[in-house]
Amino acid sequence: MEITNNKSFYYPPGGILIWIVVFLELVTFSMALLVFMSQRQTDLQLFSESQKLLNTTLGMLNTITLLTSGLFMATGLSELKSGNQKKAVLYLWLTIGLGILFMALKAYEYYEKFQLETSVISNEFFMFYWFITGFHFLHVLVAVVLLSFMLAKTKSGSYTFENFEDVESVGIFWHMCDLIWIVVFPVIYLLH
Amino acid sequence: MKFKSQKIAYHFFALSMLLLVLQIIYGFIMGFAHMGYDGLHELISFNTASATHKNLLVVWILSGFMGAAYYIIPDESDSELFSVPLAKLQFWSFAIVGVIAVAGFHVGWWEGRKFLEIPRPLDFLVAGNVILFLVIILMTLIKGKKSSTTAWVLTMGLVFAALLYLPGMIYFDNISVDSFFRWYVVHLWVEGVWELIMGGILAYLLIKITGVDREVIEKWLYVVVGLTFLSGILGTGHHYYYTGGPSYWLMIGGIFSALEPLAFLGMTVFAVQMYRKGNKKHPNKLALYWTLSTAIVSFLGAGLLGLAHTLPGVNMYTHGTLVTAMHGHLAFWGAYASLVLAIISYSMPLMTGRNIFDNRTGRLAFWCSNIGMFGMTGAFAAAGVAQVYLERIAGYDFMTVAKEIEPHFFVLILAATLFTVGIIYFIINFLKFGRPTDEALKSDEDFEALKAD
Repeated sequence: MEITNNKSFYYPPGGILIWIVVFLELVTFSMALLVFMSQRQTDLQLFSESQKLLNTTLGMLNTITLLTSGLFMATGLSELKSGNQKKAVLYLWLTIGLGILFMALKAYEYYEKFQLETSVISNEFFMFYWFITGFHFLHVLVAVVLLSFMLAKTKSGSYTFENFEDVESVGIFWHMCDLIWIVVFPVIYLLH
Repeated sequence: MKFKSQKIAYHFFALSMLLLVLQIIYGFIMGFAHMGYDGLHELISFNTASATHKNLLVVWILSGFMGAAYYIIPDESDSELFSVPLAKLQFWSFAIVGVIAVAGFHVGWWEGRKFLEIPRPLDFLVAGNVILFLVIILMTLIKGKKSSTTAWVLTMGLVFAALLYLPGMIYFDNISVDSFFRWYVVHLWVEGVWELIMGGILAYLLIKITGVDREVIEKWLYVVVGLTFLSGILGTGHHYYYTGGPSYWLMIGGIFSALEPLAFLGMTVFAVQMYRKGNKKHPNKLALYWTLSTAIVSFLGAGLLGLAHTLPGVNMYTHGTLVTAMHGHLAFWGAYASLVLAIISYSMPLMTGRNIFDNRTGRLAFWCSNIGMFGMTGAFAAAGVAQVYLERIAGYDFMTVAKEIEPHFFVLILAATLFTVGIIYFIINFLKFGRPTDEALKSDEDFEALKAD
């Protein structure tokens, strides 16, 4: 891409603001996971017994869902940048659809956990499980709402190959949700 | 100033100054009592002095915020205040309720609930007063010709601050439950909604002083303030140690309060950047000093010193000790007291037409009070750490420890004296301004014109 002015040279994709958000989000989730890891050392038996109650198959499916939606997001954005508005809309639809699928699978997983009568106060492992995955769920929900706005405005032609920064910002937020999940999943579900 | 009605702010600022002086006097009473010279004990017992000191702090800062709102909102909404007589009524009722409350503390008329000692009947008067204040501000905004993000963020901060007074007014039989909700009030104020007020006032000051575009300042400041605000709400969890709340608050409170310094750092970097970016410098150097010191000292006091004792493993020992006093003093000073002094320094020349922009008294006020407050913080830190080790780890009795740490309060009083000298200088400048006058109308147009060049 040709550098037309200083702004596009200095500013990262999506604008600096979203990167501040990403940075703080990553710091927050990393802190939570580090505390989880250190608490795990204090009671390995409890943590590994509780971990066995988690549904790794659903976790795996969710990982695939999010990664695929990330691919669609990136493709959608590059279509928008190349001026293929219709294709961009289609890919945004797919991204949102997979986001909703992620939340549906997660909701089922939470339902299973309720059946097992585990909650935030069951034990320390489940406290971390509920809070970390719960916060992540909230981020996905917020991202899906934002993506829906992006979709509506791309459809109406407000966003074009010249004006795509908002879509790019939301895209970065979406990839951040992927990234966090990719770390949360192995640490909480798989690590023995 | 642009509008005659902005002059009402002066009353609130004057009340702030008066209450600040009283607050300092009560601080000294406690400092001497800690040192072993509790001569006033029969008249003003330690807990009376403590309650008065803390309540005065809250009231003078709120009075400063109200004055700031009465000055800023007409300017930002480009119209006269909704009603000056109502604003005057609000001022006098606010002052009278404050005086009755403080006097009541001395004759045992209080509730004994830390920070919210004011008895219930007065609570209702406070609530009525604040509603009147909000009606005046909201009506001004609604009928105003313009509206700005700055004005709305400031107003929403004030509205939420009023709403958050309510959890402290609910009656509970159970003292633990009562305590749990009582924490909401002051802590969600200082770590939550007051930061919106701070954001609003800081944005206004930076727009006026640095000459940087409103769009740039508003966009950035609200991101920073938003982050501070969001990390602050969950960060409040770090106060839930001995209130009977579920233990997961330790994790949530620990993590989010560890984020708060980052958000404050963002605010500091931002304010300094805006100052460097602005090429048309406002002649009011004193206002600039206080504005920048608000951004910087709030990071040190609220951010770093907060983090110093907020993590669960540390707070288990330091909760409710002089370590809290260390953090509390620099945090309130940096984030809120300096902010009120900044808006006073900025608005007084414009209300009175006397251009005290940069004089010796003003500079001495700034440096003495800041250096004094840092000294006090250091003294509290030393006393607090000693107290924690002796009392909470070695297990000595509370009063035995209090005796051991008496020498630290000598240092505290020395530093507090320097601080007080600074505040006296500030008040001398405040008095030099005299009273606001209609002749000062349009006095800020010179700089506005300069900016437009």
